[in-house]
Amino acid sequence: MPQIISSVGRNGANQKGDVRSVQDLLNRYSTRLGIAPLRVDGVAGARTVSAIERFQRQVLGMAAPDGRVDPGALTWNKLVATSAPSLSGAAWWHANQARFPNSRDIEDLDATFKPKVKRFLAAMKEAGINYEVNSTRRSKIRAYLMHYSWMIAKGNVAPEAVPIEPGCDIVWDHGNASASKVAAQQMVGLFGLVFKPSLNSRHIPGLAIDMDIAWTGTAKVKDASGSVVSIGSPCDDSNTKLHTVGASYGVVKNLKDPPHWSDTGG
Amino acid sequence: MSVGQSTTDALPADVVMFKESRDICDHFRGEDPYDAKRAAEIARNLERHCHGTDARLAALRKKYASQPQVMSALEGYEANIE
Repeated sequence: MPQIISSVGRNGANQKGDVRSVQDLLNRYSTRLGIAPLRVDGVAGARTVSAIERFQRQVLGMAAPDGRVDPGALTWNKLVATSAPSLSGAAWWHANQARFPNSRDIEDLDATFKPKVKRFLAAMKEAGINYEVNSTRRSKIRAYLMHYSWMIAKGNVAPEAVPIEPGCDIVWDHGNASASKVAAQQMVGLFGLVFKPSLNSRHIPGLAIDMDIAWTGTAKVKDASGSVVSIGSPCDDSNTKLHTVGASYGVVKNLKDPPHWSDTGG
Repeated sequence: MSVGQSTTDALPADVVMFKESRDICDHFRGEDPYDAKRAAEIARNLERHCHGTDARLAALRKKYASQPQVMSALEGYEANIE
């Protein structure tokens, strides 16, 4: 395994041997980063610093890259750990897909939608209405992986034309179209996709929630204005009176999908 | 009556039917199969509302190519989801 003794990049010690190691590792990502390979000369010039920043932004998902590689720190560890290209396919899926789970945590909802949901849930709880939250925010990266696996497998997009998703270190382009499509198709199968996954779900920005709802008898639930609404049968998410109460909090029922509520009803 | 209803009312019946189906399809294409029951519910809706819509969309765009209002209503729908 390569090693560096001191820091490389912006304001780094930039010892020649260390810079060469970093340049060599970055070059394995040149296609992925959309740059020409660096000259492995041990000089930490502008192109090397820029390549470090691109790696930090595109592979690590850093919002504010510092352009520096420190021994034992995040950027170095990632460069070494993933120095082999992360080619798409079944092996990538098995090794990585679990890193991008969807959430069922209320805290992961959008900051404007979350308080509305919390107030609605509190009102239901106070009224003795049982609910179980099953889905809140959908992983943007997971949606990206599913969408572009499908697109490449079906020949709807060239692998080299797939946009970079920050924080997702996958290489779609295997060097030839056939191998890229086979690898993408493996992921389509493992994800269990039958139709093209959408990138427009209200769950992706955290503006939707899926939950099972049930109660017995007549529930007396407060709407957002504090008025008590008596809600009888049907004692589940199809009850239109409950929809009205939810809407008063800004949590709107989608009438085509039993467990789904969102900011717009979409 | 809302603007949306007015616009939909003025559309040909086959376009309205397509939109109803594809809108549901598009919703379920973004849902998470978090357990077996939900997975079955999503699969059932995808099969019912997505199947055949690529061909229907292409046919409608061809049929109403000279009608800007209809073409506008069909704008934004993805051509290949199957």
